[in-house]
Amino acid sequence: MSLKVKIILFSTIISALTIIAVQLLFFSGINNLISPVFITIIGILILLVIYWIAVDLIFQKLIYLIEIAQTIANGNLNVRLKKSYLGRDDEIGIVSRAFYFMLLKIRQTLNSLEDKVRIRTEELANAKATDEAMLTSIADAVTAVDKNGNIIFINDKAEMMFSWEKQEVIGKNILSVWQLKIDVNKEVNFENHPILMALSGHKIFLTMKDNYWCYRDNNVPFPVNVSVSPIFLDQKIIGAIIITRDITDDKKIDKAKTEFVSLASHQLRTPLSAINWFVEMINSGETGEINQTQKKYLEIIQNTSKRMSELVNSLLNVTRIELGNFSIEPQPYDIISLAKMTITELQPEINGKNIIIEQDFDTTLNHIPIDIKLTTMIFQNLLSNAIKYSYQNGKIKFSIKKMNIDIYIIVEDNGIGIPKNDHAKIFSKFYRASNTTKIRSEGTGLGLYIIKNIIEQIQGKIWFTSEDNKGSTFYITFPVSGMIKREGQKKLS
Amino acid sequence: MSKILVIEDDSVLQQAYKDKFERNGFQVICAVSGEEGIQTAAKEIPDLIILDIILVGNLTGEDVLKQIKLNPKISSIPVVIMTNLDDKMFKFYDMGANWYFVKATTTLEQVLNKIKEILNHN
Repeated sequence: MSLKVKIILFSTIISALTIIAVQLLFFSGINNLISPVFITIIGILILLVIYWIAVDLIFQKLIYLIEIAQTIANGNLNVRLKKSYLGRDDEIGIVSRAFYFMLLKIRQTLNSLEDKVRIRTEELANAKATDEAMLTSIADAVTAVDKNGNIIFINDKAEMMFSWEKQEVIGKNILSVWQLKIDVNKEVNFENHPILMALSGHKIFLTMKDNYWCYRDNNVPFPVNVSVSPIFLDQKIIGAIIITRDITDDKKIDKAKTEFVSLASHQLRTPLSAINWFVEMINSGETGEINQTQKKYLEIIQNTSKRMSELVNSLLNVTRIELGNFSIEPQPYDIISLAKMTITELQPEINGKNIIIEQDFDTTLNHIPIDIKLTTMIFQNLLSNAIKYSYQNGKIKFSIKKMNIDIYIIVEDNGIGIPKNDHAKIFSKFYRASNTTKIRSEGTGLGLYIIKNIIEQIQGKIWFTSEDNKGSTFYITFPVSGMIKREGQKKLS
Repeated sequence: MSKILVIEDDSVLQQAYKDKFERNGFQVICAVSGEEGIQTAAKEIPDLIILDIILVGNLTGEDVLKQIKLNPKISSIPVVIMTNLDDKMFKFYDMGANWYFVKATTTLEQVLNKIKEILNHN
């Protein structure tokens, strides 16, 4: 029964009982002894007392529920509700049960939330540990600095490589503990220091060619490759990360390669020189007369041997290019006279095919700084290709012009051309176009590969246009300011 | 008759020099190692030395040229370097070589003409 009904019923019964009592008192004649007003007052007082007791009983329960609510509001979820309240079928019972289920629900939600937080925290800790383990396990030295250059992280390899103790270097400025020098012992310019460059937003890669060195604690230098990159967070530089690789072994291999190239050049050329010289002596007639057939065969031997020498030269050049250590030695030179000299050198081949060479040279070109050997190689290659892939009585146009800030070298022929399918691969190593068998021509497939590499090293460009059976035009440009000097261990030959 | 000392460890090339130069009126003596070359030079005092760079034995052509230039008895003898190492030209000129040929791109006729030119000049 609901509380409301109970109260109404209870008040009705009490009121009825009071009225009945008053009536009874009237009729029993007691009103002669006690005034009816007094009796009425007594009745009302009894009524009030009974009401007071009833309301107090109800309020006690409400106050209890309010206290429970406050306890929960204060974050204590361990409150227990009285069992007697839960079983009631009135409003107190409803509210108590509501509290009970609410508490249950909150506890469940809280538990699942706590579980989630715990799992996520574990995941984060694992991820952090994995990240650190990865950084620590990298075989190169990893050092991270903050935006002021103070070391905030080093991995195990860095400790080993630089003879550092983690606790000693963390917090120190990297420039005070990390020695980086050029050519073993030359100081790096402060403004060009890779760390400072990285902290101002640049990515720096120092490779074997740059010849940078680091030091171990006991002042032992070792060659390094270094990459330094800024660390960005929300588009702001918060530091830099430095990866250092000890390339002592790579240097040894590189040296061995260079020595091999040198030795191979000697060993392969010596027997060829012997063939050439003996054939030369027989062919000159100084050892006695030879007949026409013998002369023809000796020429074939001589040409074959020449081809072999050229192949050895090309292979050596390829090796040197791939080692990246060929030198560029520019000197002011008349590029036009060099072009004319190349034509003269190739005259036997030009005459052999009865080719007309049209020369279109800008004679106002002054002496420009060029590497004579490399420029001659470029001319020889383009021109001998044009001759090789021309038909009998063909025509070649050889132009050297100045346009704006560039020199243009253009060699145009009306020969067999390059089929469209071969265009993409024409500068690849050992590649020869599919139609070169059409015309009897020897080649190694290395010429254009070498030339393209040289052109790239002299800040130039090479490209071509060609149509099958109509001819090809090769274009080369490089700055009119000339070639830039570069030290190298090897010259191309 | 001018005397030429050929210091060359390859017997076939030695033969080529010997035949070519002798047919053209020179006396040719040969040495296969640097050590032998220096001894022969000091003993025979040739008019010109043909010197290979990679040699058998402990001395390279570079060492031989150094020792020749240090020995006053033979330091004035012209030296023609014959090699297939094509990137050391300037180094040998600096050391006092009179000429530097890369064997693979040179004919014997060119070598002969250069020898005649140097000897005539001297």
